[in-house]
Amino acid sequence: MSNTSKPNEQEIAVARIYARSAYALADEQGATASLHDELQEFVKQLDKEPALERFLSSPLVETGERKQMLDRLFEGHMSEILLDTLQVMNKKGRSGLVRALSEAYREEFEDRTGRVTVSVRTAVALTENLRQRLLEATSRFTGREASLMETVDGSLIGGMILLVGDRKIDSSVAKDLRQLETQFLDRASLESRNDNAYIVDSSSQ
Amino acid sequence: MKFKVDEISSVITEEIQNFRHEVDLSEVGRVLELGDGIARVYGLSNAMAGEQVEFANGQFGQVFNLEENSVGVPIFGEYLDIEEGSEVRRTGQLLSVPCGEPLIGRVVDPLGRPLDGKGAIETEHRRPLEYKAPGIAARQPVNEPLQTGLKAIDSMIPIGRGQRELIIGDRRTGKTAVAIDTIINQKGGDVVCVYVAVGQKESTVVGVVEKLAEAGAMDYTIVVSASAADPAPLQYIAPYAGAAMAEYFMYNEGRPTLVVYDDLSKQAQAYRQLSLLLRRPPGREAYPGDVFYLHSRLLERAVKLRDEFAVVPADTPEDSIDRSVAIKPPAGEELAEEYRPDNPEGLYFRPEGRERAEAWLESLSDKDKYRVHKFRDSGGSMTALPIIETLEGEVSAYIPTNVISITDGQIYLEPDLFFAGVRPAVNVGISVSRVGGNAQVKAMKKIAGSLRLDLAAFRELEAFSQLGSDLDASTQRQLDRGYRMVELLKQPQYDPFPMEEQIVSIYAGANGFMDDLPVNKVREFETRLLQYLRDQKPEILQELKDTGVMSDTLAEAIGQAAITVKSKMG
Repeated sequence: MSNTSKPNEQEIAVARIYARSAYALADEQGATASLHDELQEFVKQLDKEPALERFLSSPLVETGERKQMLDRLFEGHMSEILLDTLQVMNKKGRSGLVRALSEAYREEFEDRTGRVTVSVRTAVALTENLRQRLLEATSRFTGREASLMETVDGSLIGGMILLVGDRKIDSSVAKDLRQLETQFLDRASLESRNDNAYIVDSSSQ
Repeated sequence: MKFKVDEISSVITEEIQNFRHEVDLSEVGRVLELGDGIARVYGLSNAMAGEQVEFANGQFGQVFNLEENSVGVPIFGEYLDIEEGSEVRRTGQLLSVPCGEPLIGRVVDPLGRPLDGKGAIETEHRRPLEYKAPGIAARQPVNEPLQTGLKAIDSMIPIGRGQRELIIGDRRTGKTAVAIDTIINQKGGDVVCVYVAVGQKESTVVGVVEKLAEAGAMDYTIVVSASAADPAPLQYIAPYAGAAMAEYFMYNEGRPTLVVYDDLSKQAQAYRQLSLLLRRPPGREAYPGDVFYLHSRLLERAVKLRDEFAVVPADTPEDSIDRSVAIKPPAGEELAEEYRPDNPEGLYFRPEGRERAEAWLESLSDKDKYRVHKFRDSGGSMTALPIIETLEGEVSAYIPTNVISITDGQIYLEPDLFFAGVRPAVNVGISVSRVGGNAQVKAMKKIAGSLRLDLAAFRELEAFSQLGSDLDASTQRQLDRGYRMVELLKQPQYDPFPMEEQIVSIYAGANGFMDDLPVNKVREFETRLLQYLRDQKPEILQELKDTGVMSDTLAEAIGQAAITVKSKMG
């Protein structure tokens, strides 16, 4: 069941069908970007209100009830396209997949508009200056308009890890230390093979 | 014990100073689901089929299924600490194993990691696990014998170098013993042996390794082991790893090799497990559709490579493999038939090629400047002895029929014979070797013909004689001969016979020199005869060994020796 964690691939695959239809509708009205923002907002709202998420995903709530409730809650507060999408998903018993919908919509939106989200893990938070330079560099690297998804992870010690699609660019200090460790081990095995023993029998001295 | 601290720290400082900060660029995917040693990985959209990938815990996997959104990856090792969402890296390489001289005498797993605690294996050579078998042009027919040292096999089911001979039988009928004896019999020759243990108990493998070491056979043998405790993917790749290690010696050094796959039924079961977990559709006996190809592509790698000769300048190094040094016949001039090279580059193929090359060299006016050269990497061979275990003698099950149809013959081992004391328990009536006869030593071929007939007649009569009691003299004679021949073909384990001694004992049996001995004295007579020849008439054995022909004088001398020995036995 999708709860606060990230949606998995199977869920996204299901939600993609709804995301594509919603995108096509929004495209006709020229509202793809606003729908994207709206969905991101909605997911943030779910983070704040776990009860709303439970209401959407719980099988205990009947479809009819949920329909009325959705209308009461959101009519006039969100775009018609989004509300209709939610209603269709509710009718099909898929209203629990809102997070997956948001993720699938983001992929669809980025794909169609030539954007890309780059995940950045750094040891300390990025400064504005760095952020700008990183955005420029990643846009040049991918040939698409990049947006950053930032995470701060102290275990990197320094440097950063960029994740662009399947490609991972690792320039962290943690990785350097790991490499240094293997280098030491290689050297140690080389030395012991060449009999340059750095351990001597003290009795012989 | 004391550390030389200052030296260690100076080495460490040096390492740190030389350490270069490099950005690590890799392609990664994430584990979507994991179970029973199979991971489904999301991402890795550029991964190739068969590519090696690395998991976060350092274990390797191989890309098997390329699906729309994910790839199926069997993991070659510990998988319990891999989690959903953990990272999987592409390596951009196909699966390969280390190979070369340093592996000899070692026990390794199918990825070439040592299992015998004798330290790291240092070799810069690697070969891909999956390697396409050579085509028609690169081969030559089997023409050299591979002696197993077992009388019953070398006489009637001869194996040639480059042949694939299946050893098939129920559990505990001595299948492994036949293979191990064959390996032990290669002692003193130039054959490199690889013993691949698939899905066996570790204790059994240890036993085999100890026996090989005891017999001095580990000096030329590599043992590849994927035991019953290893994950199915490792068991599946073990035979390919063994083949790759043998191929190194065959392709790079032109050496003869022998690979024992013990056993392929377990490998097929491991592959079945793997395939079902990858959700490939099951077929007959739940094996996947490509289980035939699994074995055919493995056994097709057994080959006798053609010999390549050429006339080269006399100063060419002995180990040259550069074909362009060959002296080509002058352009526009047709050489006589008996000198003509096999291709326009001036190369002569097969053993017969040497004679033509030598003949051409003789005919040259400045022949001192040239010599006939055999290319070091040509003429190697890989002989395969796959083993299949049957259930209750059921050879028409799926995997046995597959492997029978792929191989160039089979050796049937039967529990009835085994328990009747006929060991090796070879049923010579239904065992065949389809190509080995071409490679058999002439003397052996000559005596084996009559042996086969004697035994065939014996089997027919034996069944018949159990019904009645009155038998005419000639039938009784044939029966007596049969009992003695069966007795003669018995051979203890780890006691291979040299070819010339086999010829002598079978000759003595087939020519009636044992007919007047009681059956229980046959083996004693054999031992004494061979001992007598070794001590008193070593020239007989030597001549047989050198010429491989049973001349009339030799036959007479052996007959004389048999009579002498018999008279001494009283």
